[in-house]
Amino acid sequence: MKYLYIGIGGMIGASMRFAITIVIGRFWQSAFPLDILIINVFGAFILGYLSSITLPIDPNLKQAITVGVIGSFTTLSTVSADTVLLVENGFIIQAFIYILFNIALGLVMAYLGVVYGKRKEVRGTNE
Amino acid sequence: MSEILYVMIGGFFGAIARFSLSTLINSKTNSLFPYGTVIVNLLGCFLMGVVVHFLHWENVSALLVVGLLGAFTTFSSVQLEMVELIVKKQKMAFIYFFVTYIGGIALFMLGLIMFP
Repeated sequence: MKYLYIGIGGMIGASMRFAITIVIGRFWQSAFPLDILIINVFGAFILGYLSSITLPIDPNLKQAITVGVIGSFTTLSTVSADTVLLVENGFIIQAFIYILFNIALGLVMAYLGVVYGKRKEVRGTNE
Repeated sequence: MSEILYVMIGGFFGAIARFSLSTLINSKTNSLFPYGTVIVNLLGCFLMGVVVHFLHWENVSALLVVGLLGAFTTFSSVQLEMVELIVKKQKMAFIYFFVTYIGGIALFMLGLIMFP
């Protein structure tokens, strides 16, 4: 049952990523993969946030959201592939900026997500 | 429209495979170091290279690339686990960082060139 939950979460996360890449692709015509960068950084924030709050839901459902939806929404294999593709096409500086932004912004946003979640949590218990 | 269906099928199995494999690995290792995420991501990057080698960049497959491997590998867990290691002042955060990113790119390239 747990596996089914996570699979459904993965289905939702992957199709959200797919939909966003299509929408961003409509107005972003550059070789720089802005879509995956935005998805990853946003996903890192959400996961940080969700990891630091207690949700009044079934643990299986929480895992379906964190491991399933957010885990599949963000992706690492595409980052590796995109970086190599950029270098292959001669966009060396873009490749560096792309991977650095993924790492740095991802770290900052995951951290901010944790901090934001903890603050909400404290406020919630005081009320 | 059928493309999103392929993405969904790939995402379904990619997420289950990631969860099963990383849970299995984490149960075998007793360490702060997130071996599960590392191995899943490196394996996924390698397989991504193999898929791109056989399908070429132009025919990015909705089922395999966007769905299955996109969902199998994960970025958000890496960042969160790295934050947790940094907060705990663990030097292995740097190792985790290098293994995941440099290793991911290296294994992707290996997958890309391994087959004739």
